[in-house]
Amino acid sequence: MSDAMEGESRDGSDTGDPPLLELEDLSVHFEKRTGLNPFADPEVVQAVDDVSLEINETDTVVLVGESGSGKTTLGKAAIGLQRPTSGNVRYRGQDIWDAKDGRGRVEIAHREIRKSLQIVHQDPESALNKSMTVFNALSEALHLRDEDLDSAGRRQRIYDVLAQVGLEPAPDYASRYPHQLSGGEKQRVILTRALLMNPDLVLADEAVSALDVSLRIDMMDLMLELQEVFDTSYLFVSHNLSNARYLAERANGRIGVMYLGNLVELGTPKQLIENPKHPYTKVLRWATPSLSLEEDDPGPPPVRQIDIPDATNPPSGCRFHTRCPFATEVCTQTVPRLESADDAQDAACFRQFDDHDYWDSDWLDADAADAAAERQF
Amino acid sequence: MSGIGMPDFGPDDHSDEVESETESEVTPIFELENVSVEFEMDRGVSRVLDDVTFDIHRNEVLGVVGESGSGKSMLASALLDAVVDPGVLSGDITYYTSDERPIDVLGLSDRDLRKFRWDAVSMVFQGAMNSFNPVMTVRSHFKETLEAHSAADEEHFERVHQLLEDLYLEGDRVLDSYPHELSGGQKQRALIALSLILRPNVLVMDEPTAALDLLMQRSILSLLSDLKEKYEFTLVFITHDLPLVKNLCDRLAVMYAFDLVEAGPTREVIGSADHPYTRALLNATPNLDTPIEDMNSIEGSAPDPVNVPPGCAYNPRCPLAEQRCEEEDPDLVQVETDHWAACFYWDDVDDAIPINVPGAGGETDE
Repeated sequence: MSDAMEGESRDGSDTGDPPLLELEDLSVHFEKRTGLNPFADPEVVQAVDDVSLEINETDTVVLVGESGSGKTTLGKAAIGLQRPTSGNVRYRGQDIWDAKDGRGRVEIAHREIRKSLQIVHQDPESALNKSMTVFNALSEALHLRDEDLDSAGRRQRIYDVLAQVGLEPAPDYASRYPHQLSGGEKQRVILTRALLMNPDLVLADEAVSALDVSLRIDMMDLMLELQEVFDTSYLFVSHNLSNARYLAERANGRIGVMYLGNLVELGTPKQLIENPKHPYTKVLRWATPSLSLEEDDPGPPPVRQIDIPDATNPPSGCRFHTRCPFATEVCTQTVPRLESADDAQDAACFRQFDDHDYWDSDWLDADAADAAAERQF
Repeated sequence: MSGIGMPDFGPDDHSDEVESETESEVTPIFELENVSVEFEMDRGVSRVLDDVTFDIHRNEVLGVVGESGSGKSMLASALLDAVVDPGVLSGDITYYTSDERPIDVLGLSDRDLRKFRWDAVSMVFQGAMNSFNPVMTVRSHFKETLEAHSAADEEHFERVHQLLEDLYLEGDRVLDSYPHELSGGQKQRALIALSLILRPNVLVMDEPTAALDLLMQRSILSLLSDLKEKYEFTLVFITHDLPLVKNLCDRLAVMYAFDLVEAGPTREVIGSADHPYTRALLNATPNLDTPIEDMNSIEGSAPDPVNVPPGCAYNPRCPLAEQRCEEEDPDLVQVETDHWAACFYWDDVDDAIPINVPGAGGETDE
């Protein structure tokens, strides 16, 4: 156990241990070759830029954002599947990439870290090998985790865990091939395979959105139940705020809103949904349709342009300023930090500070600001 | 033009059922009668559309809501007689032209059908934004379509620009782009422009926004409302996402297991659903208003098309199911002026399955 670093726990249960996972000033940039000239400088896509985030034991964080917001890349970087361009990812205080490269004193072996951070893929159709039975798929995972188990022990463990996730009769399900499973059952098998490794954290990338509406609650409930059984933390990635709210609220977790590579707001689902601070979070709220008949017509999108800018050449200052109805000159120059003016959630927006220069600066589009203010965005 | 419909399907057939409620006269643009689609499979006959009888009103926005495998896409294909082989489409589909001339869609010649598909009824398929040819500019797609329909004239090219502008796209920039240079949302909007270029009377969209983000989805929906106002067409919007289409649609048709289980004005279907499945679906749909402890998934799973339960297809999952439901398949019965539900016990659902969405099932709240 490493105690090289002081970690503070969000819920005040300060143990002195470093957090389970700590992302510090993390950036992931990709080079993108365009055109036919092989000698031309490649364009750089800033998929994730300068994100810091802590995830604790049995914690739940749901990242939401549009496609191209960098939420998937951030998720992959968090579990060590994507090497950051700069910044650090620490697992219980151990830098993952130092462990991988054997830099400095390695307290936790990379192999151990890899097993502890698992992923459940987006697409249940492609995540399972078509020619492998459920038993073989799970047996393979178990083998990686626990080499000492004999075949009878392994069989028992697989049947137990299948029963635990509701795939009963277990021997029947164990002998099935993926095509003999429904979408929801496939998801269960994929989740089981990840959890058999006994991970500390599971990254679930859009694992719910691919399912039918009537099965989503069921799947989310299952994941949360298993969180208790296996004592894991979750990092969910979703573009759906309704799913994010359900997961985060039931798990007592947080929602992180991503925009163009930045984390722009981070807080509890209540804070973000009832009292969003960042104009972009309000846009996501607008974009999430309600079932209530009392809801008024939501009107046109509360943004100045509906297309997300290109991440190869992100806007200066606050990256949302090109779409934000409330943007001023200040927003085009200064990058807002993710912080909080009060006790509530963190947000990367100047509007939360009453005495900020922002308020003396000129609107980029006064009409848009008026219109948005009128609609109470 | 050949393919004039059979005289049996005059516009008067159902008029007494719909006229009474609305002040402006409701006329059908599509009439479906006993429409079925079957596939022969090794395991047996797969009935992916089961005896659907239904009218689509002129100039309405109809939302066809159902989960995957409920037959909603098949319904869309049937409207255009575009069911892929070896599927067999049967029943009667009548389309009414602007001057209310009936056309028997399934009786059209290949040539007339091709014309019908773009000029009268246009369709945007699921994932269709990937149907752009990657080595052709967007402009070439528009040109090709207009040429194929002998409409490559000044007036139509002007219309292209107008439509693109209506969809918040920069005309020339988008037209000169190759598909890969556009984002998913831009491609989808360009495709909507393309589908409207020949001024169809009906636009059928099958999950047109499913692959897009929420923001883009909702933006496109708000654009569709505007376009519909401006160009006056009938819109059939097929989706699994009930909340998404709530504000867009005048009427909703809910499908379960390859048949319609409920249809009616949107506010009635959401506010006082009369089919147990519709209610369960409302309670299972993640949203921001319902307290999380009141959201429940639906027990069990949807049936396999080869093996649909006898009687009411929903009976194994239905808390109200009685013996009768296992033996007889309920027809759509009229529960309000223009509200239909296929359930023997529709009168009992209010008490048995309360709707948990705040501000949706208003009447049943204590």
